[in-house]
Amino acid sequence: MPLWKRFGGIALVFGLLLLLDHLLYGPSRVAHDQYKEDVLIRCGLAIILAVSLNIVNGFTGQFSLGHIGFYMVGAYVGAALSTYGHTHLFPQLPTDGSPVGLWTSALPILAVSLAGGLAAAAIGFLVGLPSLRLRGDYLAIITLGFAQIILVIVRNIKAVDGATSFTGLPVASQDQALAHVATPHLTSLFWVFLVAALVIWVAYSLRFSVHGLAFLAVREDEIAAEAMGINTTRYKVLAFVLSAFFTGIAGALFAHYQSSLSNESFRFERSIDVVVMVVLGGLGSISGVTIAAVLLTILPEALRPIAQYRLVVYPLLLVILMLTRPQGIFGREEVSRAWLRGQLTSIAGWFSRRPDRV
Amino acid sequence: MPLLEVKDCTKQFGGLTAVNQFTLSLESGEMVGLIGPNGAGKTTAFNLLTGVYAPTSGTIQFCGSSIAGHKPYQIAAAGISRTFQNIRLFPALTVLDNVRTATHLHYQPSLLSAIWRGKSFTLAENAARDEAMALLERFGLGKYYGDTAKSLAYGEQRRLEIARALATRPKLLLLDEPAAGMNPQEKNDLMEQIRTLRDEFGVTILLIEHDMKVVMGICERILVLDYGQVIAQGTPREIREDPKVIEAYLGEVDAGSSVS
Repeated sequence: MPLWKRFGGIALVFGLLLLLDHLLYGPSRVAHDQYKEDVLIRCGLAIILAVSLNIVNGFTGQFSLGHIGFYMVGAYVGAALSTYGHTHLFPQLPTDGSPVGLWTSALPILAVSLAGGLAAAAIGFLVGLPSLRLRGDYLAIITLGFAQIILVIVRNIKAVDGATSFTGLPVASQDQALAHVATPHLTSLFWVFLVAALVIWVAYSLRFSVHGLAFLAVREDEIAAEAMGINTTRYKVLAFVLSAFFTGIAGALFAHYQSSLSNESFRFERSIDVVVMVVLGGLGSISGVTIAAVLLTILPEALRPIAQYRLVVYPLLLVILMLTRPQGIFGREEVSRAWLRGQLTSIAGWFSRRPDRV
Repeated sequence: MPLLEVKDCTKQFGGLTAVNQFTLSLESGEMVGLIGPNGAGKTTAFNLLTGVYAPTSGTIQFCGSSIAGHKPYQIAAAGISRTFQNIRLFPALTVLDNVRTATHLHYQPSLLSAIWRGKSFTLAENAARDEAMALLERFGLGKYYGDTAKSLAYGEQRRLEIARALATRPKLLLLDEPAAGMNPQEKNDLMEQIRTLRDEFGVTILLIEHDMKVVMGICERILVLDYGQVIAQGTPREIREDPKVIEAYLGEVDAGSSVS
């Protein structure tokens, strides 16, 4: 890819996100429409979670049910860094959790995201190395157990109020007897979708390179992959660590969006939500998974008018979708030029059919 | 120095000795056949050579260094590639991607450069694609490059497996019953292709085959395994006349070949 195209693409993404961010927040940095902001941010986080889980479940065909554990590690490590490190690292941030300007938040959010991501990746490595010897149901159970362990450990950490909810720290300061440092509100639409764009790009570039083929070969046939010179253990652990890294970043972003962090947000069911997105989108299809992540976040909101019935309709829609497209919305296809051309030809064929033949 | 030197290799599964004191020496550029009745231990011998199993005892030297007990991917990197008796392609990947995957061993760019997509990355990707495409053309599979591997006909899948094995640029190619399940015409074509492979790619070939006519036709040297032991080795003519082989094997095949 030529350099101008690459930088052009990066500039375009930045520009679009900045515009969106500006439209939503304006100069006051408080969202005009909090509900809209909430849904959009949850969409972005869902994209990050689903696309990174897809690297493990879709690309390498391993089945992890424990990614919510990495999400939790990222969230708590990020929140701990921004509150405990406040006086030393980020003295410029407000202590009352009020909105922060986009550029003021740039360095702090980079720091907490990296911290959260790296912590999750490290845990991913520790968990992945021994447990990736297993596959299928066994791996699913191990990762599930691991997510539970993380949950229980965090619940017992007093420093982050794991048992209740973490809203910040009481800190002694000179002028006041007891000040409170709240988790800073760093996350805005811009950052969430910037990371979402990044994770989609990383997944795409892996998928369409010989490296990505090594991941897929592990899914297709491990024995044949080994015989072709692919170190399958290395690629499985790599996928796990990479996926944990982005999941951890999502966690850190989540922690700095909420004013309080509760272990209730990291229950096992949230893992299932993300797995459903990946399966529904089409295991391995990045486009499909992205669309499913947005769809499954918006759908419950769109069903709000029917009030209590949505809890019936939503699962029913899932069942119908799964029955009609068991391979997922996109199967293993990706949105690409060739794919679009194929779709257009089939639509054109639909119209150019002669009436006497119908 | 021989390319491959196997000495007294034994593999036991519990009480069963699948391969017993297997000894084999291959010179560079040879074409050798490994035959034997069903269950004689031929595939187990292949699995020992490619690291699927570690030998219970014995040594395996390849290019002068020991590979016994190494992992399959390390042995592939050392220069031994193989096909499988019951085809093991990457079924959901395209025909081209199957072969591209096997260029992995010679693929330089790091993971980070794959994400950055710089110039050297593009060059490496194009080189891998061209190499894979050339191999597909060589085996008459060029026109199927965009189809999934599982959609190919049986004989084509076998050829694709050979193309994929060659994409690792092996010094030694192990073919496990490459002609199994093919009709006589396909068999003849395949044998012709294998015969020319050796000179074209400079590989040494060791092949397992059930069809005696095929093995006798293209191999210069044949080893006969029975109950995990090498009972005879020599030129096709010597093998054909060896009483031990006739007793253990050829009688059976004669009965079989009269059916076919």
